[in-house]
Amino acid sequence: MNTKTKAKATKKHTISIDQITETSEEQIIETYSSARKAFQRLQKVPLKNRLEDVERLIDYVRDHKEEIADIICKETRKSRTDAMVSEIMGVLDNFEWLIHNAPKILKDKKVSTPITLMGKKSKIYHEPLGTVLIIAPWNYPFHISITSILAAYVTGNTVVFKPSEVTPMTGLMEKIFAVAPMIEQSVFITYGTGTTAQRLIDQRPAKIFFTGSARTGKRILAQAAEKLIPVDLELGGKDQAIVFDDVNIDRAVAGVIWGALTNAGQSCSSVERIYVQDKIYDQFIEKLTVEVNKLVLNTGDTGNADIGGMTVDFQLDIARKQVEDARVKGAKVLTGGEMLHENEMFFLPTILTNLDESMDVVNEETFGPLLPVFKFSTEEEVIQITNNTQFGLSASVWSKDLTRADRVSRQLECGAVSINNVMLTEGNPSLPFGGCKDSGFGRQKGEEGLLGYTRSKSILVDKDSSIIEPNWYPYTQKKYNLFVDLINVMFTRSPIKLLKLALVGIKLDSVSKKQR
Amino acid sequence: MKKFYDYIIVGSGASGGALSYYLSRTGAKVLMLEAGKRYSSESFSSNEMHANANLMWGGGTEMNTNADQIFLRGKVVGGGTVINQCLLDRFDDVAYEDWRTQSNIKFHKLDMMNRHYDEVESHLSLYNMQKEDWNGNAELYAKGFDNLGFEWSPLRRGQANCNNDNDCIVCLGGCARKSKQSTLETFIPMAESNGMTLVSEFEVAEVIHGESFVTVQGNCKGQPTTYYGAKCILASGAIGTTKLLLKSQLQNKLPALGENFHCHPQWMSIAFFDDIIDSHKGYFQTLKSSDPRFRDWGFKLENVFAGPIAIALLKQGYGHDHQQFMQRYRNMACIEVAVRDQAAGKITLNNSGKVIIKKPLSDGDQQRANHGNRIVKDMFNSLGAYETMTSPMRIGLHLMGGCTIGENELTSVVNENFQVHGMKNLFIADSSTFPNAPGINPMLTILAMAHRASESILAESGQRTTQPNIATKEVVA
Ligand SMILES: Cc1cc2nc3c(=O)[nH]c(=O)nc-3n(C[C@H](O)[C@H](O)[C@H](O)COP(=O)(O)OP(=O)(O)OC[C@H]3O[C@@H](n4cnc5c(N)ncnc54)[C@H](O)[C@@H]3O)c2cc1C
Repeated sequence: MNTKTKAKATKKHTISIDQITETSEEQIIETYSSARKAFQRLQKVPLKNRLEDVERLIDYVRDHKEEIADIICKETRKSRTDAMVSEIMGVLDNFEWLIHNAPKILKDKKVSTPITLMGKKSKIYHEPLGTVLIIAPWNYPFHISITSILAAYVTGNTVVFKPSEVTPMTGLMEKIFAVAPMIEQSVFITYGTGTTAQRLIDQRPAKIFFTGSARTGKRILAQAAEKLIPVDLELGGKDQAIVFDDVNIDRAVAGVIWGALTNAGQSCSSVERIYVQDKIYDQFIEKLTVEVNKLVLNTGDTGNADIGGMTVDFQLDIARKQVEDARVKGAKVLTGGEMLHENEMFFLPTILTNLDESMDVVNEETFGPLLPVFKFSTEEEVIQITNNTQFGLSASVWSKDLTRADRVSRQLECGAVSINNVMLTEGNPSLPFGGCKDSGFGRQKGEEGLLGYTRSKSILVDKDSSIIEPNWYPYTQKKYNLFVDLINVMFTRSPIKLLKLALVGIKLDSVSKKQR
Repeated sequence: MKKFYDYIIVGSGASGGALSYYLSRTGAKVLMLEAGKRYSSESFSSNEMHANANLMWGGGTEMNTNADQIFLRGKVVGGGTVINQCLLDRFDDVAYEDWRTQSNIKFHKLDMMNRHYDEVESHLSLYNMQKEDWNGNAELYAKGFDNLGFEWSPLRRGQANCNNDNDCIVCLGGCARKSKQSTLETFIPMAESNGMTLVSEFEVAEVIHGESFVTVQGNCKGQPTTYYGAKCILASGAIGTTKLLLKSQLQNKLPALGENFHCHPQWMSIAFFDDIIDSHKGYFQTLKSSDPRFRDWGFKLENVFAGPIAIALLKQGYGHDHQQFMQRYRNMACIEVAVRDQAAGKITLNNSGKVIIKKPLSDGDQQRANHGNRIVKDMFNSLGAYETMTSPMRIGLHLMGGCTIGENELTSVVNENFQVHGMKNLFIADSSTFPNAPGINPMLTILAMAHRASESILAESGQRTTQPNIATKEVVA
């Protein structure tokens, strides 16, 4: 994913960077000071109340979905169904999940206490981090922003949030949060570009949550390292779809097309490489071409356009350049391959074959509506080839043989695999989302994701008494010998281990009471 | 970029044909999509059966839900103008007055429309029928009118150098002489010489209106195909355009979609004479009922006839009886009552996407028909017919409404700029925009409206609307 690359100011449909006002350092210092004060207040608000706020948001988003979709489509050029399903429905799903699962996950957790610490209790508190910084991308400007903000809020953090300057949706979040005053007072929305982001990091948020390009991710990580700020990075991908020859071809074709083209390919987990087993390759390509040719492009539609436009011109340039580069180096363009029109920010869905390692489209992230298709013959081969990439976000494996699909899934170097489906791990709010290698680290969603907005505090409770612990001073030769016995007894597999342990324990206790 | 056009026109009939010329003469990139085939004057068949089956939707068998009204609509490059009789009349003040009452549209006024009539007529050869053009049926028509004391006058038709060869009726299946002024012979070739692209056998299935262009999806000879137009103009006729918007699932956005459907229902009466009349020969339509009383009564009497297949269909029953009837084809005279229908019909789609047309007759409409048929009967009696028969089946040739023009978004579909309400890139300028039945032949007015619409559309796109040096055809009068 890409966020903060500067857009050219000339072309139609692009925003001029000059028009974006940055947030000044003074303003930012003030924002953080307010956010930290708000954190003190928020700590007194019980989880139950925070979850009631989530319910208020659900009501609002559900009742205003068409208006919100209007704004999303205007800012991104999405097709309306993409906006309604992936953004709005996805958000509501996520909120429902929070309501039902956050209490369980955030509850103080009892853990076991070993026998050597007999009579004591152990537990973990999941505490908020404080004031966190969320930097959101332009590709799912509603979903990624609001689910991240709400995860932070529900776990008790206050949030400084910066939307992408490309899709600021100015005023929308403010309007939504106004239905829940405590959220309104806990979330601080700051507009601007990378310059503003740098200033925001300078103020030492408790943690940074960044979704965007690998390049920007590295810059953020470097700045954060100086101040030892933890960072979760959700970066780009070059996700593979692996299609074995035992599948229902029609279904696999339909799934792969959607995975590659939803949001016009501008998803971090878009299908960017399609590997088809040699036996069905020709048939697959033929069907793929027929089906892709049926798709229709538009934005501002009422729900019946398949593929929307490109949100930013530099991304459109990448798609165009990759196709050109591939074409020059011998790739075949089976359909598409060009812009819909020079004045329209739409790129035609494009099928590419005859590809090789020398082509950019094979190695670099596209983030556009391209479908590069490769042929493979064996399982080992496809695992090895498709793992050979700098990215590792997610993948899909298509096969009737679920044992094989599972075997392959375990060997893929990435953060998520959908078997006989595509991008569907994201559709389940219980599953964590995140990658490895250049796709970043840290997880969003699911229990792991939610806990990422907390730090755990370990608690051990002992009773007040006269007991002096054996490991406290004084250290005597006798005590030492008993500890040696203890180690020997404790780590044997003797059937009378417990008895022996009790004997050593009693001796240790009695020694502990003695002075040197 | 080869799929992207400045203007996409769906349909090539009266409206689409004229639009294609007026839009392409600015140099714009224009694409015309037509569901029907492209024929040329040489490839039209003179076989009546073939004409019905190949040039019309549903092979000429579309009916209303009561199955007592048949609708004929063209499916061919040139649309209805290829299969019609091309009688070209301007509307009168009465028609426009009634339109304006319903639509509130300022230019629904004869003196505002005259310049558009002038413009389109300048590209057409128009011919006023002469007494020497009369055939036997016309002689009887005139005499019948005289007997009963009604006024008649000659018809005006769009035709060029017809050299009538006594087979005029055949040109209802496409004119073989390049004479009839269909859009296939007039506006479309002019548009093509301006660079317009025409794709025939392309049935548009859906239009998707977007922020800055319209997606036009359909089937081209069975292949799903999509084109994109900065502006899209629907000119698929009253039923075609309405169906397309319904299929595009716009009924929620356009509450008036499908309403106000009219069709000038017609009843043919056949009278038998001992003499040979040969109504099918020569110019089979030359006269019209111009008596102002008919206008008040809400119907016209048409001097018309039909080919043997159509006539055979009018007669119910089989066997000897039917044979007897058809044997006397040459002894038949015919006058038709065309009612200016007041009861609006409604076009909807059923669950499988098929067009459903509700077109009942109101009591008033039925009375108008009865009144007309009575007069026709009296005329034939006065002429000495030994038998008359009024068709039990009514025919609709002038299909109008479904996407009414008007300023109120609740009761109309397009605004005064022919723009679909709420969709700045989508336009309609065909017979579907008619607010009610004018009671007059519609084709010339559809052409004129298309010219007016082209001005609005070009203005909307910021393009100039006129071009000097328009080659005008010689007008035969
Ligand atoms: C037998 C007959 C005689 C007539 N005589 C006269 C007369 O003498 N004088 C007169 O004024 N009027 C006459 N009419 C009526 C006149 O022809 C019509 O009113 C006129 O043609 C309507 O013009 P239009 O542009 O609205 O639609 P049409 O001319 O019907 O054109 C619509 C076109 O759109 C095409 N189309 C429809 N749906 C689609 C789709 N989904 N995709 C692509 N293409 C599509 C159709 O195939 C058709 O070619 C007559 C009609 C008939 C049938």
